[in-house]
Amino acid sequence: MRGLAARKTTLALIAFLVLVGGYPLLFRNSYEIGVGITAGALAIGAVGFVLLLGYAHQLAAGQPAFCMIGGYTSGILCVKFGWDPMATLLLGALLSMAIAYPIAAPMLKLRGFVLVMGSLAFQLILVVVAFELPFTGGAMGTYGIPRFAIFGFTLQSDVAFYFVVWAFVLATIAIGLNIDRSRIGRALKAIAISEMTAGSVGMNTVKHKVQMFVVSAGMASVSGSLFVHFLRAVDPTVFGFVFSLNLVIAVIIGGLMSIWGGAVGAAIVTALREGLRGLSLPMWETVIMGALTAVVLIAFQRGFAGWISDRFDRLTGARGGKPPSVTEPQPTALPRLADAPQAGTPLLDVSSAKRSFGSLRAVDDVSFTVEAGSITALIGPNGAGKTTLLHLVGGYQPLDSGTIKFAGKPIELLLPNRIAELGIGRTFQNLQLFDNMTVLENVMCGRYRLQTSGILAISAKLPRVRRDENDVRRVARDCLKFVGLQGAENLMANELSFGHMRLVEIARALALQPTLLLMDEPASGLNDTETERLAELIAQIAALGITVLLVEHDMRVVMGLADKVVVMHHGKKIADGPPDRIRAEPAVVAAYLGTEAYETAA
Amino acid sequence: MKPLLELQGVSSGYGRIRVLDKVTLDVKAGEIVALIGANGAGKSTLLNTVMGMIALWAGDVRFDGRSIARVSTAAIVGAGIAQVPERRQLFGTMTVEENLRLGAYTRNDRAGVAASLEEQFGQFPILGERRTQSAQTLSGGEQQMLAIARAMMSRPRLMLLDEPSLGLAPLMVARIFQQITSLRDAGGTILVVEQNARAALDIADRGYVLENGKITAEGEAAALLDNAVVQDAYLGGSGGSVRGMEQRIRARRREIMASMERRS
Repeated sequence: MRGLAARKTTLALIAFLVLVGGYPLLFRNSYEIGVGITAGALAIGAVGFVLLLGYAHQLAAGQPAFCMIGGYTSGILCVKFGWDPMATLLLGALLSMAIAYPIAAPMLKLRGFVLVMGSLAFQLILVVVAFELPFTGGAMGTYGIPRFAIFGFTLQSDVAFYFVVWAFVLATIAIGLNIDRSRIGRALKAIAISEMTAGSVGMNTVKHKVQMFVVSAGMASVSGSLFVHFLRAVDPTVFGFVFSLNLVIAVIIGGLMSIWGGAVGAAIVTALREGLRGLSLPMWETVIMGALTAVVLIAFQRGFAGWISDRFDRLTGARGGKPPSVTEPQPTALPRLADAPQAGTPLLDVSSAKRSFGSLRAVDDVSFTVEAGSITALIGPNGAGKTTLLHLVGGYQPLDSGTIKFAGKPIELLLPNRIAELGIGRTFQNLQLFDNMTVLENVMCGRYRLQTSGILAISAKLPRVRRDENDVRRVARDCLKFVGLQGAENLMANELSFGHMRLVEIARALALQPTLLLMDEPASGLNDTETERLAELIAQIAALGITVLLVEHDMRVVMGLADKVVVMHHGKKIADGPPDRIRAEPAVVAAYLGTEAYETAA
Repeated sequence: MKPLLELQGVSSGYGRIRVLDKVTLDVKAGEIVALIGANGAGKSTLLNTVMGMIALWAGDVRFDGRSIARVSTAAIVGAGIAQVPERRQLFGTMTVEENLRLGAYTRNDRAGVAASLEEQFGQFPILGERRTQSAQTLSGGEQQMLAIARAMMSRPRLMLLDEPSLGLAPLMVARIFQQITSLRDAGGTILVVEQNARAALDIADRGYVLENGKITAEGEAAALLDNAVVQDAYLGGSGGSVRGMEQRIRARRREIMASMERRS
């Protein structure tokens, strides 16, 4: 898929350069060039909005507020202090990001509609501030803003300014694409599907949303600065309702999950607005824009850019068509765990763990240890508290009391992503794949905790980021080889059959390079032949030096694989020990195995 | 006897991927028919095609002699087919009773619905006890019972069960399959899709084996259980007892550990 994505980017870039370069040749008068400039300025804001809305999934409507901050910073510093426009643009962006950072975390605690209102309130405050402050010019605004200049070099022609604006657009898109194809991009897409699953591979669910809020604020600010240098004036209404609407419509028309879509949408919206203005029917302008947005929402759910991308896939036959060719698992594809703890020492130590839901004691004073290098199985009737216990170990739910130690350190107070960082991987009872990514990307997500590139390095795509990504891709491929899914790399995760999805989940957990792997009913939904193959795979995983804690109902897997079996019933541990002893334990037979069910099947 | 459900040369799939390839099968009134096959063979797709949730590419689906190939899902439910989906798909935050009442959504007779509700509580007493609890607080087995009871609320003439044993403890699997048998004994007709081929064939009258979208074997359930090919593919080999597979897994684990030690 990497080849395909790179090819698409190249084609998109060529199309971009041809269109941006060709426009001033075809549309030469100053009005038309002006339209091109406003489209570019809008595109910068729209790309930022895509990062916030599409990637961070935050319905924050405050973008125009940061356009205002950028616009006013540029306007005031240029007019009153005679600063260089480019310097004011950069300063405005820094200021916007500095303001965005502290308000991001509390703001993003709000969700959905409340977040819309919260961010609109922020914008409203800024409008009032712009009206009332002594140096903003009040309702009259600040005017007499000079032509745009880059550190003393003034752009005398509008065409030159046009190209500078679109160079900014290109830079913005580059940053967006760099983020998209990085650990942060994958984390954002993962978080959008499930915060819990994202946490299970160590992803920090708050940090990256805050980063997108800050980055998009910076982009909005640049957009605002360029706007006011085009208008040569700024007042509180410039970034008002119509501007906000244009921004939202641009993002929807372009495609919420497409970086290029922001630019495409901005160009379409601007062209439409200007075209409709030519009809001089002011009322119909908004009506038609609204109707168009609705049509796009219904007909092209991934927007225009998404539609073009789909067409491309279909024309080139890049996707779909054939189910994956499953390979034999290659147990040698992954190395033995280098720092595996001494076999036999307690790796996980659960002590007097308690957890209640209302009056239900889901986990009631349970203690057991998992020895390093072993396969330990946790069994018990449905509702016995096995999954809850696994959730406690994984940090998804807090303990009421008791302790859980991993490699000697207490972990009961840690959040899932911190626990994953320590090297505890897990697979889920109900499959939890990221449907919006390919199989390979899903597995790459597992590598998150071992990647360290930050937002700045990623935005600039430093060489070390590139190297790191290549390493991660290689390891992810090895993990897929290990589970026998080599042929499925480029399929979308939801195009696989159930059994194969399960293997992807295991590969993703292995990519995390876990010391301890928690598996919640890995054999459920598999037939006997597949179950036996899965058991072999788990044995291979254990042979890598990875300790396995397994919740499973299939007694053939449990009794065949486990070194130790822990039995729970009504939240309490009723037995633990080697399989043969558990099999003979009367309490276990009565509560779980069922004399009849087990023996007739045997 | 005339079959209640008939599939004739049914092909269907998702997007451009063909999943079912000219499948022909039938279910007669009063039977339990088991459909077994590997993951990805198309079992769930077949059920979804019957329910009209996936478009038919070719062939015909007939229910009680009439074609339902081009009929909406709602109309198919109205005609008397109910599906119990894989993973149950209950309304988690609603109570047990609300879930059951939603099963009767297509019915207008209030008294009849109330009677059906009591009937289900009679059939599944544990659901009566948990009547006001939200569905998500039920254990896996209880949720499966609720899903079946909810399907029964529409008084179906044919019930499609997708993986009823999924995620259930051994004891609970036995209980659910007992319930399915008693539904049949009360005059119900059931098409059940299962990974747990042995358990399904044990209670079924007849069975079909689906492989890569094609029916590759069919017949009396008892005959399929004895069929060597079926045993190899779905029942864990001819020695496919619980202990047989367990011993193979154990031996394999020992081998793997030993070879790993040699490697390092």
